[in-house]
Amino acid sequence: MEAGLMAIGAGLAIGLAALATGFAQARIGSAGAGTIAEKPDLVGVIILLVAIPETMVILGFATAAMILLLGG
Amino acid sequence: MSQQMSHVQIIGLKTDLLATIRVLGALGCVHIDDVDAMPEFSLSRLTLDPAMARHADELNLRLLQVKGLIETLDISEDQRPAHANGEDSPERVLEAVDNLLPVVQGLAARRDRLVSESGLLPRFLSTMRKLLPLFLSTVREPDHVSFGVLVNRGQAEVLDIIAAQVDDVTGGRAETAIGPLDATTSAMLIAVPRAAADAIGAMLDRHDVSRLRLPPEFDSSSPEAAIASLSRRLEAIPAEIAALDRQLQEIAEQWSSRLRYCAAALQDELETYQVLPQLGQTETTFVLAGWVPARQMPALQAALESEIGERILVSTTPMTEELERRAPVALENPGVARPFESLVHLYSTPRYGELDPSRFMALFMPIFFGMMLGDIGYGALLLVFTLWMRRRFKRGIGRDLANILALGAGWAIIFGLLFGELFGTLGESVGLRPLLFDRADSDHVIDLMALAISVGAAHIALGLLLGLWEAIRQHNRHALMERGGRLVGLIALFLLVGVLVDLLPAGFMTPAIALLIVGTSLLAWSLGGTGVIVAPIEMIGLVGNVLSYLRIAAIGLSSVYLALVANEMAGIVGSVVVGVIIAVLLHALNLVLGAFSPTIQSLRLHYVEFFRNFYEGGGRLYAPYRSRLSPRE
Repeated sequence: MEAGLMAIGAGLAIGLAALATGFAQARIGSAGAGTIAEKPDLVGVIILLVAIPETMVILGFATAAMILLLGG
Repeated sequence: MSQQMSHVQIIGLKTDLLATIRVLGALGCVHIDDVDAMPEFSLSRLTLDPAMARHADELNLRLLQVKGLIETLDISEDQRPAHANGEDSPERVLEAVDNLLPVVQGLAARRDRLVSESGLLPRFLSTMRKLLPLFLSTVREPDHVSFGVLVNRGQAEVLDIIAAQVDDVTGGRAETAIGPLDATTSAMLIAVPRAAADAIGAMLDRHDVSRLRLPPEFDSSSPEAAIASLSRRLEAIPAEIAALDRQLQEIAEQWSSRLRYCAAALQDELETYQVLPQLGQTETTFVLAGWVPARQMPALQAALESEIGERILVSTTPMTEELERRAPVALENPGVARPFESLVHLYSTPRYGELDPSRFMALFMPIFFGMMLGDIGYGALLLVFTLWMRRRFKRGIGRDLANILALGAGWAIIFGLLFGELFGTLGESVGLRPLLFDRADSDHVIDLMALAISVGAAHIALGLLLGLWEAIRQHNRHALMERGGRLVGLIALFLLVGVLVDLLPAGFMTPAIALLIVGTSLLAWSLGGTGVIVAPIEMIGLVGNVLSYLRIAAIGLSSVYLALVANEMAGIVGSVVVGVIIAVLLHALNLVLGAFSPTIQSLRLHYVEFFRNFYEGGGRLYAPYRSRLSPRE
């Protein structure tokens, strides 16, 4: 039972963080596509901005790993 | 590292202006500044006189003609400077171009007509074969003209109306035949006396129906013979197109280098005129201000003296703070770091005198890439791919990317040995054992994460040390406090964590807290009024920056587990052949992801976590005015 709850917790930790990251990157990516179409020099900055929200899913991964490896 | 630049001013007579610009183009070392960058002189902008403006327009027209020829003959772009063959001058080539132009245009127009015909004829023949049963004997009579009409099946009653109107107009001397063409279309053939052709044509136009234009063959022979004749024509077209292509190819081979040379020479001369408005002028002189690498200054002076003599003055201006802010940057790095310059420029060009991060990227980016990919098999395949890229791309961003990926692939092989990975867990079957630890083993996930965080902390600490060094060089106390505070805070955080996980004795707790308070205070002082509130938030942000390096572990694990899935799925399927195909496809997918994702993430770690501690950028790229022509051989 406890193992199952831990697995659910870990799944929620990374899943919700991934959803949040995807939501953020979708909006940044679509704005970035429009920006690059008008000013191609900004492609480097846009790649950077799209990659920034990934910190959320990384922290979610860290939380999930801690739950699974250190929990119980 | 960036090259030392000298600010140069060239003052000469207007009669020597074009000769001077040509010398600068041949040398290719002067970055020309706009006259507005010389407020110390009250100069008006150099303008083209009417004769120069007319000449520039003529050059533009000739260039368009030559470029049109290059495009029509499908001559490929070559990034190398063009050179002349033998004694060719642009003027002689242009004379010959005047004769060549109508020939090539004629060949190209004939080719276009044939291609268009080969596209239309099959559809036309298919329609005519379906109309065969409708053909009327009167269609072949020389004094009769034929019309074809197509309508949707739903509007077939229009054909009856048209037939009645044709009868009225021709007084019953016309013949019509109506029949289905396919499931959605009905067709009508009309044969009318030649005298009534115009009236019938106008009537059909008013009805807004699709007209089928019958070719002359249908008027002079039987429909079957006409269709056979058109079919033979269709079969002959590819051979005619091929013959025209061969002619155009021969012309292209004969003219390729001359046309490229001519285009480059015309473009050069046009750019000469485009550069002129950047210069300043007085009544009889021109004034040019620009930048040249300090070590090329003697060559510039010698070249101008040799070509212009004593009528030109070349002088350098001592560097001031204002000039340093305007100076363009020419990066100079050893071969290994040179490909990373384009990645630095992608973020922001360094300011003159600022630390160039290219060498640090050259060291750390391949290491991060290797840590994430960490597989001997993937690294080897990627290395082979980069060798192909290096043969395909001799210069430019493709070549840079190949060199960067090659370094990353090398580190991927090294980390593959450390983690004991060959296409995931396949290495186990050939006796491969990890030298460090097995990433795929869940017992070592914490070790992997600790490794990633340690590397991240070291990387950020290096960035802060570089930032401190820059702050000291620039005598920037504010930056010194900020970066010093962050560095002290980082050390304190790691001491704290060390104590909490029992890696360090408990006695380190007090110094750790003290250091944290010192670091936060320094940071708060550097941030000014709101520093008391913002500084602790910035310290938490610093923790986030370190944890961001966990992506090295996360992406590495995803690569391992995808490889594991590829191997397991191959084993589950009953057939060896199908299993191998599945494994190859999944490993190929993993390789593509493994090349793309670690590159982007390593780049992101540098741009966000590393650069923010010491790098500002915002500089100008050194872009010297340069001729497109190489020296005559």
